[in-house]
Amino acid sequence: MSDLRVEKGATARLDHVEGDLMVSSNGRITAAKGGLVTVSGSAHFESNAEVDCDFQCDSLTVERGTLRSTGNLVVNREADVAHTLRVEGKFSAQRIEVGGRMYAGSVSCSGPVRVGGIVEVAETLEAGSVDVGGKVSVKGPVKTKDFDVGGKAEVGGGSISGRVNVKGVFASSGPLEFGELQVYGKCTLPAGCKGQKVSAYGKLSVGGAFTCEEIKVEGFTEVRGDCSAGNIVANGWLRVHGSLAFSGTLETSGQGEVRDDVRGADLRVGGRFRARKVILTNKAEVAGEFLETQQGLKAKSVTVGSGTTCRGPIVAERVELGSSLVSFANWGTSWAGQSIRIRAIGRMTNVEDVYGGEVVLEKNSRCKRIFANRVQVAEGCTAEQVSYTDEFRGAPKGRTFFTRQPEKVDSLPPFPL
Amino acid sequence: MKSKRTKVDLYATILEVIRRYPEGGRVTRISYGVGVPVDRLKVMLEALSANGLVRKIAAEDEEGEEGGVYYYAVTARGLEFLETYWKMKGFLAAFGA
Repeated sequence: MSDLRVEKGATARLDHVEGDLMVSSNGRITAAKGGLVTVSGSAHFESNAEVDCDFQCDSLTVERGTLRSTGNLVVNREADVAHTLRVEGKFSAQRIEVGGRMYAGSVSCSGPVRVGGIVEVAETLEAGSVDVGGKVSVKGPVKTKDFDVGGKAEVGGGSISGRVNVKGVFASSGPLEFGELQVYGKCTLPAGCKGQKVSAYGKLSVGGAFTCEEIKVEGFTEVRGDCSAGNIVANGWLRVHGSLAFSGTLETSGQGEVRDDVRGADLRVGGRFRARKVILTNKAEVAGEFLETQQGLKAKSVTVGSGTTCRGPIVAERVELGSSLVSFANWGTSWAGQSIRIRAIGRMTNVEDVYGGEVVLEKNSRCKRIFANRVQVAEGCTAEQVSYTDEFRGAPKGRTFFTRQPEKVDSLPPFPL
Repeated sequence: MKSKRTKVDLYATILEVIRRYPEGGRVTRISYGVGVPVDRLKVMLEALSANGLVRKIAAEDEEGEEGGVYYYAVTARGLEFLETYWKMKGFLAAFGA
């Protein structure tokens, strides 16, 4: 073993160092031949230093200042830099720990990358995990398992198989595949992203088509294309510029707007919701201000809370209008549920045409036309027309108001959806 | 123009950097991460420590005596502060603030 020391401010032309290399402050390493310097042991830099070639060592430590490398940097085991590391080429190591800032052309690390401050990568970043206190900017794609950033993160797409936890702002400029994406602030994704779960407290903005198993946004959600999900909870604004498909439940308690069709299993609306058409395989519970469809709402059962307005035809096996908000009791614990409850007090339930097997109008409900097998009308209700095939049960005369008296018919007209 | 970090933003950044050292971080390392000089950072660390958001751990030398070197780690209250801070920032972002 022959350790080598480069004195303060000196330039060393090296080829291979058998043993450890120690470099004093402002030392400079260049290659004697072939453009590569290899160190069999550890490379220790006391302060600011420059490596003007490709460099390979077993482990790397930089005590203070900035280590600048103009070529590629390969560390077989751990790289520990107290302050700043600048690598113009590729940087690879088994484990990376940087106290301050890391700038690199590209990074490949089989283990964790832990940086206190800022990471800027011009091309790609591959790592076992990424844990950064401040900001991360990766122009190219990222490939890692877990990604934890204290402030802001910008990536060029890629794949993050585990958990993405970004406290401030997260933006991806390329298609990203992710496991669980949790952003406290604003999350911006391009078209074609896929993931298991996304949750944002602030804003989720997707530039095109989006597929995700679970979407939970407390603030503002905007998808500029078709959106496909398992379950969606949008407590603030939900705006989808294409169609919306979900296999589970869509729960929205703020303002929802879907330009095309909505297809799914269960829908729970509080506040306002607009769509061209809503087709559900199970039930719709509508409370709050209104649900508006151009072509209609179809479900197995539809319950419209008291004080809610529905525009567009409703088609269901069972339709219940003016239902007490008790049926939405499980919403009651949330602020949105409370808000819906307060806003609905003292208002009439108001719907347009209803087509169904069984239609129940609770107190003070108003609708245009009813076409159903069985109809039940409570006092204080108004309707323009009621056509039924099997049974009509109404409150005593004088307490219900019909433009045309209810009539029994042999068959109902074709349902619109 | 980039807006200046408020004192609360700085406290959150400090806690985020310290959080990355579960075994405790040295003041110099934390200062590199936060981008604040050590003398200014020490004052803020004292304030965080006084409010129970950061735990100050005295490092022992080989003979088991305190050598005046301290490590800093985030407490449960510090993590709670961070959670609340980021959630609040998220809510404000939703309002366009």
